[in-house]
Amino acid sequence: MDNILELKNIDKIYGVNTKNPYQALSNINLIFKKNSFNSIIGQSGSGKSTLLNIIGTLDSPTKGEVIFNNQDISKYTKDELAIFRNKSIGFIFQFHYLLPEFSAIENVLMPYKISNSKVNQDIINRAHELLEIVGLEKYKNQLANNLSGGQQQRVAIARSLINSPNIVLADEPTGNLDSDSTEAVYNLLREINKNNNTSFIIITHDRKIAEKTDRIIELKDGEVYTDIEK
Amino acid sequence: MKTKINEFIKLLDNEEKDKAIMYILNLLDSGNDILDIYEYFIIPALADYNCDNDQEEICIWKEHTRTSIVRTILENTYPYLIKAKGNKKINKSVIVACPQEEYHEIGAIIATNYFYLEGFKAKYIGANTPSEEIISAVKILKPDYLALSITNYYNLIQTKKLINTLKASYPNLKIILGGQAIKKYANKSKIQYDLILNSYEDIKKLSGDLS
Repeated sequence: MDNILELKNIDKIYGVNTKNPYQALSNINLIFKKNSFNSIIGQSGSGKSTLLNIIGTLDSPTKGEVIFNNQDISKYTKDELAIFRNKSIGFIFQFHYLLPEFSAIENVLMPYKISNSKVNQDIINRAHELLEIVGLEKYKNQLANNLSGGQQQRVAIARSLINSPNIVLADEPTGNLDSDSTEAVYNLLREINKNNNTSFIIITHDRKIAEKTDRIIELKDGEVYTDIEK
Repeated sequence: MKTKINEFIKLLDNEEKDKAIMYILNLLDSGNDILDIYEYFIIPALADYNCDNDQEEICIWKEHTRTSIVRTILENTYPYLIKAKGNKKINKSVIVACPQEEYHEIGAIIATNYFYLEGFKAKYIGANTPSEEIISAVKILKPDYLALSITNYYNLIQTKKLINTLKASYPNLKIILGGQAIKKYANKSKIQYDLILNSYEDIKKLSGDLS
């Protein structure tokens, strides 16, 4: 299977030029295959979110290379990165960050609107399709604030997929949900992984999610402590 | 033998608990070796089980039903194990457990019985045993070996931490690992261990080395 992402010798040090620099990540070397379904676990402060931010190009490594689809994105300019991020990566966070004054479908369309001046019928159809996939087609015109926590997270999942990203990065996607909604969100992510060939990297504290993924990466003190693939 | 195995598996497939138990007890009463019963009937009944149903949730409870029947067979055949052991004795003790959140315990029970058969002082302390309880058992019972059975690969994470803690406090304790997750992922997980034992032959060899 081809690789979607390769991290080579990644270090992340905060406050490099200060008296007390903090090394959040140390010599991370990881390869993620296309269409794979991965989880990253570890205690608070182990470096999980720092790593996900680097993978998602929201932050840059102090040292090392991030190779995405065989291209070294560490060398991209800020503008190139923004375009790349918008088109290639989907994000799901513990707190969905939906815009409350917009409807479900408008929130789903938002990442597309950011990079394209005009919304065409094809992309509107795609948004409808995604809301149907996440089981919220009939709530498409509801304002985000009028949806339950589980529903809002499902809208966020649909939003992460609107630009057909190669990879979705999820930071504690079920951290704010009850166990039934957790199971529903897991099933949804797995279905999307299977049907759309989208790769997933999921940070989670929830063993029910982690044990169902195909690969568990455990970080400890900024290093890869365990890396097991089914 | 193959016909008998197939007949037994068919009883399990049909979930005919009473008949399956009596089938094994009759085999033992007619002189079959308890080890052969374990090796050719009981272990393959679970290890080779394939659910051909598309619905995963049906497969799960069907597997649990099968496991329950096998557990009853193991309990009912224990007297034959006592007879087979005879006077065999090794001056070594082993605690067997499934770590925290590991509920698949049949392999651990069978391993305990194999250790017992080979003359070890063997004690099974249970499925889903919290790390602190395992540590407590090691502290109080002071075994020569701790054998952990792991099926779910996620449990390697917790077990790795447990072993690191145990090795720091009890450096002479030998750690034995077994189970499906160990067979597949022991090296990848970089878990600490002294021995991996996955069969009666492995335990017999250890017992021979110690005698």
